[in-house]
Amino acid sequence: MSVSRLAPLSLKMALYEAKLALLASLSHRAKFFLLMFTDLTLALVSLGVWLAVSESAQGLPMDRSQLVTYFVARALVSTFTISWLVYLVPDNIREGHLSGRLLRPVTPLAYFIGNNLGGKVVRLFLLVPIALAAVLVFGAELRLPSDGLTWALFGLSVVLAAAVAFLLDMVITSLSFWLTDVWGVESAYRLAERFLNGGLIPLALFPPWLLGVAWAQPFRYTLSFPLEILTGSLPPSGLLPGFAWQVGYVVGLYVVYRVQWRYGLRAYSSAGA
Amino acid sequence: MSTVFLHARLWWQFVQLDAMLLVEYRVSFVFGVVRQVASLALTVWGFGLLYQYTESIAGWSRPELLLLLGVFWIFSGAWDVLLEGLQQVSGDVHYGRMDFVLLRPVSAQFYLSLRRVSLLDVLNVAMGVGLVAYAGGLAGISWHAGNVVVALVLGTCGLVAIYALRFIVVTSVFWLTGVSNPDAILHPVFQVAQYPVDFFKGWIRPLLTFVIPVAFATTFPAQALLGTVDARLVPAGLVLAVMALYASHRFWLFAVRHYTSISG
Repeated sequence: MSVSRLAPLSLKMALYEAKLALLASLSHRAKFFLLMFTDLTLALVSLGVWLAVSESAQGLPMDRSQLVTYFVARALVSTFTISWLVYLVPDNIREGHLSGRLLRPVTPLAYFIGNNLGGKVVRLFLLVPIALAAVLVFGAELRLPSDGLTWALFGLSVVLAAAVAFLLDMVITSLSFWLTDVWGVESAYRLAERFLNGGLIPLALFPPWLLGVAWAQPFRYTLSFPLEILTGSLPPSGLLPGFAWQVGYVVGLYVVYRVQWRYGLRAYSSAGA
Repeated sequence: MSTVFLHARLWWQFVQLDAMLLVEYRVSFVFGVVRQVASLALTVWGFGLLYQYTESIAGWSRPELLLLLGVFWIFSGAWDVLLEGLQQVSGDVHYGRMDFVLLRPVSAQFYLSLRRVSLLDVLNVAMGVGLVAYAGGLAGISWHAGNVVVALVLGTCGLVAIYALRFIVVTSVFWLTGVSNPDAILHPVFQVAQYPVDFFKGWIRPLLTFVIPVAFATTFPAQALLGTVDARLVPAGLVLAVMALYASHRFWLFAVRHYTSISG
């Protein structure tokens, strides 16, 4: 089937899967609220620590209001960018659900993307009271951009960040084609993510000799980059290279995914007969 | 007294069970070790970043903060070794296994809390002790037996009090059947416990001392080792721990009275 006929069908399947995920997630409202509350509290703990540092520190690259804005926004942005493929892809591969999906004239990616987006709708609704509470508590200290262009760039970078996070997760979990238990790799991936995506330690606060690596590594583009745009800690000259890297990662990771599935599906079908 | 021995012997059985599992799944064990060492190394590095711009944060120097991190690893390691059984409680209620737990001739609270012993995490305790020794050396501590005992007492009080809090949250599963693992709400507690409560301002400090006694779990034991702790905290901690444990037990009994079993 040609790509041009495949695309609308894949879109329809993605939307269908999104609806399924949304309906499923409605019965887990309490669980999601708990998760988001926990996420926010973790961000606030990090904020508390860095505020304590800024009290006694000389020459910290981020000032107080930037830190407050950064960590309040962090909890909200990460709701847009999370990905939970480790609970879907390995099981699909190991238990053969993938076979049914592969028979259809739709790219398997449509299912996973649909599931990801559908699962986020409920979380985004739950985000509203949390966001309002955050604005009420921190209102005076928040420093948000005043011009529409920055907000537009922020929005774009969040969408791209969600794509990078999703594809990175897909590449890692697709190793299930060759590994019986992918939890070890997943665990290492999440550990690296914790320290490198700016959620715990803003990348601007990394030691100078590590900054080059910090700016280039993929985890920056799953969370830190949008936050840098929002808090103004990214100089205008950093915008273009930043977006170039972000788009580059989306494209590059997609290519890796295609290669993985091309060879992975061969291994898959040879075992599943 | 014989019930105490019964429970103690039962717990020793749980330990042996986990030892057998560890030996069976050796690769898992090795990977677990590597991951934990990496996690500690990264956290220590992260703490180093905090001190790039200052020598002291809220009165804590870098070696003192590393000492607290070591205390945290001991606390967190002991927690993981002993209390893994609590993760299964919501599943037990869901799938009707709770009936079988309640039928056993041992304390249900004891069984549910301590039935799974995770020996792998003893490694975390050992790494914590190592970090405490190393950081203590850097901070120039003189090791007094009295300080160590006080630290252990305060840490145990914190552990018991936070356990009681977790058990109360887990007991709520009897009513909140839709939520699996409501004690996930306590995850931030483990994030906060890595830092001295002095880092946090205003009403957060009393919250972290008396409501969610993180301070007793890590800050006060660290201060005890540094020789700066307030001695009145020891009786305060003991009272807090006993009261919390009692409250968790009463709440459990209340929940069980209102539990209609699966066949009910």
